[in-house]
Amino acid sequence: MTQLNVTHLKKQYKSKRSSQKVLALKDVDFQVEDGEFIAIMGESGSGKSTLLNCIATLDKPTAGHILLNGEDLANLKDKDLAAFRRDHIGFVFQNFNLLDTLTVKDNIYLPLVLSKNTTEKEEKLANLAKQLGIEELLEKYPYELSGGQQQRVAIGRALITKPELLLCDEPTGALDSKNAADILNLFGDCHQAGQTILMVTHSSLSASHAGRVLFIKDGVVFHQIYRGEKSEQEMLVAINDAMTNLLGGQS
Amino acid sequence: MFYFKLAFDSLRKNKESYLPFLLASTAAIAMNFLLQLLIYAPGVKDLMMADVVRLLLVLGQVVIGLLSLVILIYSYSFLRKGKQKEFGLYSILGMTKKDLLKISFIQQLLTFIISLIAGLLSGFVFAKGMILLLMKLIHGASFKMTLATPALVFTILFFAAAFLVLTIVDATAVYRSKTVDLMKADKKVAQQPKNRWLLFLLGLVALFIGYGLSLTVPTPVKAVKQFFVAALLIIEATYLLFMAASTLILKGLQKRERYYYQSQHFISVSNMLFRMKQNAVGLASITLLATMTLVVALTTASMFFGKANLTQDMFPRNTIVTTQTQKLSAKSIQSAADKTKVHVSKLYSTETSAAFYATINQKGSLTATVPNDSTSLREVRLMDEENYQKLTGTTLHLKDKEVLVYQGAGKNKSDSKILAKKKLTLNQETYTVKDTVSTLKNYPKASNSIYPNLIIVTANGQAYQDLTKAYATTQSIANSDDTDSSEARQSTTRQQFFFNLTGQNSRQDDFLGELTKQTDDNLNIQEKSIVAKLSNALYGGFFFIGILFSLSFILATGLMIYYKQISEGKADQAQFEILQKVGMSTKEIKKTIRSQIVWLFGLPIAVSVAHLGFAFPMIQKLLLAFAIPMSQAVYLIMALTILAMVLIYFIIYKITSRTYFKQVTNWQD
Repeated sequence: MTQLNVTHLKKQYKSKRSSQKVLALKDVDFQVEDGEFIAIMGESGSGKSTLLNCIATLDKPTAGHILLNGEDLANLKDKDLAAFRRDHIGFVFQNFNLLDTLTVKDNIYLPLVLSKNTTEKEEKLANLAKQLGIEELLEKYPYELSGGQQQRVAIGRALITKPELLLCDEPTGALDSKNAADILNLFGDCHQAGQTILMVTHSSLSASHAGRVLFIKDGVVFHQIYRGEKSEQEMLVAINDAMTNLLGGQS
Repeated sequence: MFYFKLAFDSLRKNKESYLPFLLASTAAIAMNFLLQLLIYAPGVKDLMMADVVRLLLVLGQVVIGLLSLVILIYSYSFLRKGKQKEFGLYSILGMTKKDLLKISFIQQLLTFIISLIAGLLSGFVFAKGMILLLMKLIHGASFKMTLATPALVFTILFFAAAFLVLTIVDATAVYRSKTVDLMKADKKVAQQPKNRWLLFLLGLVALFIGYGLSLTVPTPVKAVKQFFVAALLIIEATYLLFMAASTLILKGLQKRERYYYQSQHFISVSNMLFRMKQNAVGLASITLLATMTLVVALTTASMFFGKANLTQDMFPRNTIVTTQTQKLSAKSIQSAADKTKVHVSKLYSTETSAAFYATINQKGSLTATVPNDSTSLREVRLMDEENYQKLTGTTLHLKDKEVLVYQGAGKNKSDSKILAKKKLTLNQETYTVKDTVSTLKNYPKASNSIYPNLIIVTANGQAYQDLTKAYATTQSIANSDDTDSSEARQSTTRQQFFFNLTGQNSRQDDFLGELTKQTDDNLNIQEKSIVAKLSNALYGGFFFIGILFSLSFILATGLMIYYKQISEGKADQAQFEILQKVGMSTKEIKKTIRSQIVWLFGLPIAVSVAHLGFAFPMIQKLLLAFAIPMSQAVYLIMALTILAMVLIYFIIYKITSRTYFKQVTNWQD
């Protein structure tokens, strides 16, 4: 079943200083099936962050449609956007974006509290904490944790509402290789458990954990690779080849 | 020109924090210039009580000058943070420290010139209005004010020096710093606040003692002595409780899951917890400034509005002549008036014993003593029935061991209780109190004594003589209406003549001189017009300074809150951006922000009103020490003062929250 359907997506920015318009996304078309783990790759400025923001309803497309489970995001009213975000989408950021004023436990509870759905929060937290390996950290504050630990907490916050779609924006960008590998394995586990994941990255290594990799260049989906039966190592080689082509085409 | 452009650009880019600084320095210059202009104004110099008023203005200048310095340094410290980052960038681009200093110097010069011009202009205009107010308050005649050179020179030099200090501080900071440090964002990791029970308990104890002192202070004399102790305790308590109690309360709220895990409380409570830790000291300072504003405004306003009643109550006629020589009579005064061609009308006189100090105990026993700060000390006079009848027209028919007691100025409940038992022990003998009255017709209702006044009316003849001998001769009273000659000391009878005196000023002087001669310089003259002028100058001056102080305090407080919000806006912006991404709507965010700002604004006001409420009894006693009884008007004044402060705060709050909203919610562009 198709969970996310992006058709002819176009996003144009008007820069503040000049009247010149910047075309961030030209014509993006792709589908995400239920339970897929997709990585979106591209150079800086290729429009991948814009794409993510549009899907996350943080930004409005100029043209085209985004359908999540058959519902067109363009039909949502402004005042319902926040509720939609917290009920259907989980977000993981490069720099974790945890609130320093809340304990780890309360950071994870945050989306539940915001959607006034705090029944059985303890059980939900206990399950997640075990899965993420942060049971010992629940009473601490984010500034007392390492980067890897903070990202685990952030993933906990994103998953506690059991969102249909988990959006990740460079989730390993601020981590060392050991912690990055741990986090990616964690995503792998979530994927195994049936979680749909859409990850934006420019690290080939990160992308090699995904089931499918989309390459974006100049605002269009330029190429895609299915993992199929490839091992992570083979996938990495394939991604690197594709990246080389991508750059070669540029010059 | 290149440096000038850079300097100017940097000012423009940081205008969010520069404008308030400009405003602060302009206001400070204006305020000081205004005071200087008033000190040198011919209108003030021509006043009858010029020395008193100018002294008050100079005192005001000292306080406002110091306050201006504090405000300048405080608001400048916020500017420096933004500036340092910019300087870091310049220095990476290859500027030497000398270039940076040049830019910094040009910036200081620009700021100085702009705020000097704006400050001097607005100060001058403002002074025109303020001299009208001042002259109205102290009933001055001339509203003349000139652009005095000394005033101008003083203001310019004072602020040139202040800005020079800021420049030097700036220069040393630039010189000492490393480029990398300049670039570093000033991101401090906030630590989790801890419960501090000890501080909390200490604060609570200080608060109880401070409030207790104010509530239980028995006499005006004690009030003067204890005021500073109480004030210090309350200041200490405010700081300690803001630091400790806020954390305790908020942590307690966090433990109550039902309350805490609700969207409207969750973010507010946890944010406040961290915020109170960083801001406790600032909030406590704001609270104390607000309290000070209220106390100063209330005290000076009460003095000012109470003074008219005071003169009215002190003077049944426009002139009172007091002597203990027995050399004056109605007849001799009339003939002196005829001789010097002045008009004396509605003359009457009364005789009492000389005043003496005595303590009164619970059993109603009166013991003569020297002035001390005992709460049972009274200023007592004796009067015989004949004089009472002459004054009031009422006949008493007192028996030998019967007295009537008049409770005059400073009437208090404990005396009333003692007198209600109808027994007094005077000179080791028991007297029956036939009646207690609180009005004595034709006798001055108010006095400038700080001790409660009692007049004991006795039967004529021997009864009066005995008591006078026992009390009034045992001590020599150097009261305001007594003189020092040995003859007067021995005399135990005080004559007072009340009359309305009209006629040419010089002739009035002649007349009073004649009376003085007749009594061998043993005469005390009180003229209503002079007392009124003196109290006008004193209390009008106080009130005026009070208004200026209140304005400056409110300005200082407003600036502190503004800068607090702005400096936190940056940190909060990141936080609210996260909240928006995880699904908090703009509406909810605005609500959360609003509730936090309301708390930060409301708490100091609420606490300072509570402080004022508890300080009220003490202020009341303090005013009595200035011989000003609290009237009903004081409650009105208090309500108006609080209202005015809340109003001004509301305006500052509106401006602050608008800027803060803009700062916090502009993440999308």
